[in-house]
Amino acid sequence: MESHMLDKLTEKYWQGEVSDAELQQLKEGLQKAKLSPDQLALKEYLAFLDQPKEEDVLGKDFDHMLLQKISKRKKREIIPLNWRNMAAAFLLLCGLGYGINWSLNQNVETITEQPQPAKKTLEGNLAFNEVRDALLLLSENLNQGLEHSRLLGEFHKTKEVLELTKDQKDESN
Amino acid sequence: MSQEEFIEHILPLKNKVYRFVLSYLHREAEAKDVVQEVLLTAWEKIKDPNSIKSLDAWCMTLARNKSLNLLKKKGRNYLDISDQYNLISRDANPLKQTENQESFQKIKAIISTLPQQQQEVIRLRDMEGYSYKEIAQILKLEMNHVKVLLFRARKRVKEELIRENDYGISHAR
Repeated sequence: MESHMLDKLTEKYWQGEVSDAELQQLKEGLQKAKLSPDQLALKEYLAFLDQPKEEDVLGKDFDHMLLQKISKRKKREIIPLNWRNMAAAFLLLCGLGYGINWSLNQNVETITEQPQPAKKTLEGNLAFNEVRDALLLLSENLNQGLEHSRLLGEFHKTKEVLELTKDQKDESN
Repeated sequence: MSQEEFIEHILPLKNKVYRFVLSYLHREAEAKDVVQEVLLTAWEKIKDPNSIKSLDAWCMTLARNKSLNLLKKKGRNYLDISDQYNLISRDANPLKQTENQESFQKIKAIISTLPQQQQEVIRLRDMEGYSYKEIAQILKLEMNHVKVLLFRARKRVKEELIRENDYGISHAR
């Protein structure tokens, strides 16, 4: 690969613009002996990236444990619990609770209506007593009037007797 | 999905997901737990593996979210990638092997000093081979942003490597 091409690809790589095919060309070009500081740094970096990583870090035991857990979860999956099912169940419970509560309140209101006849009786008794008292008061006053008339009559009679007696005394003199 | 589909499509991703998760959590036991959760979730949620464009990206997105949530829950920060890439120099020459190992350590150290997003992009692109589109999906970024991050990350790696090669001084420490 020519130097200017290698310089161009090196610059493209550091800017993050190199394609996979260009990267392959770059790796081949970096194998030559004389490289610029930029190219040396890139060669070192690409060697770092190309080294294989430890293959199976987690191992077969991890796989086995994971697959066991999956088997257990599959057995437990009778009703799929997802948020929609749970939300629907919650709403249903709330509705039922509200309905039961409303029904109970209706029964309580019916019971509280029953004591009204007794209340009316109480009010009736009170009214009767008041009327009776008023009538008694009236009757007392009525009785007073008659008595007063009788007394007045007695007064007139007494007055006539006194005038008659006076006339008879005057004639004797 | 069936157990057979799981073994064929999902289980092969375990090591890739593990390396990715370990780069966040930096603890093997925790990383294994998260990988298990990711793969089991994939089994539960994905009914038909062929319906997902990129199973890789789907699993990696979930792995990233779970890792970040766990870090947040434990009050830990995103850590460097120094340990989870056990790169093996397969060079037959022992001297070359030693040189390569030193070079790998140097590059890992440089990458570990990059900001979090740049580290994520360079790892997904250069080490795991994901496309820009897949990386954008995993990291929830615009594709152009991914390209900019990769450019900045590679530029930093280049500059540090040139500096170290020129002066033999590690500025990454």
